Amino acid sequence: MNQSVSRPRVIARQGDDVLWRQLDDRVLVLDVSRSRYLRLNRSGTLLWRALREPRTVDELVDHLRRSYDVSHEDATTDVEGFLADLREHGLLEAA
Amino acid sequence: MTSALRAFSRRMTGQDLRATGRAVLLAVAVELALRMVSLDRVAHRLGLGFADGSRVDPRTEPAVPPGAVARVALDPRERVACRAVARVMRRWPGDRGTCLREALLYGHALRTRNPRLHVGAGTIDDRVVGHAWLSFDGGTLGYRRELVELTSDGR
Repeated sequence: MNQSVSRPRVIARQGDDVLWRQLDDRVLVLDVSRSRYLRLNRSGTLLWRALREPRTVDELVDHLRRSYDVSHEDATTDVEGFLADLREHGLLEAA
Repeated sequence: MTSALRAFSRRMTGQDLRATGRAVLLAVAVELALRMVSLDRVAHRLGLGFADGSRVDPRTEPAVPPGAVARVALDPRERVACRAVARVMRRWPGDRGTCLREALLYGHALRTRNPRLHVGAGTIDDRVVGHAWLSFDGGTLGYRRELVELTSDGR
C-alpha cells in the first residue's frame, strides 16, 4: 500500500513577549518574560527576520538556502535546531 | 551595629532612614519579581509604563527626544525617595542589570509622573550590553547614546 509521508507543517512566528533590534548584521533579542538578552548569528538573524510572519519549516529552509549555499538536509537541520533553541528560550509562538 | 553602619545612619534623618528601609525592601522584591514574572509585569506593578517605541501612539504619547535630560523640580517626597534609591543602589550587589533595577526603583519613586521604562542594548567590544532608562516629563533619565532601544518590531 502506498503511503504518502508528509513533513508536519510546523508554523511558527516571533513571540509576543520579545523586543529586538538589528545591530550591524546581527539581531539582539530581549526575552521580556525572563529579562534575558540573546544575540543571534547571521543565519539566525536571517531566519528571525523571516519569522515576523508565520512560517513553516519548509519556507524557512528555502529562505535559508536562497542566502547560503547549503544542502536541503543541512538547512533543515539548522532551521529545526534554531526553532528548537527559540522555543526553549520562549521566543517563539505557534501560529 | 558596626561603627560604619552607625556612622552611615547618623548622617540620615528619620525620614531618610524610613525611605531607605522601604527602598531596600522594594529592591529585594524587585530582585525576586524579576526572576519570577515578566519584566513588563514588574514595571506595571511598580507604576511604570513599559515603553515599546513601535507601539507609541503619537496622538497620545508625544515622542521623547532621545537624550533629552529630564529636568524636573522634585517634590519633597520624591526627593527623599530618590535619595534613598540612590543610597541603596550604590551598595546593591552585582554589576549585571543594575541599571534595570535602578530604573525600576526610580520609576516607582517618580510614579506620579507616569514614567515609562525603556530597554536598549548594544555591543561594546563584541559583548552584548543591555541597558534600561526612564522617560517622563519630556525627558529621559539614564539614557545612553551609544545603545539603541529595542522594540517589538525591530525598528
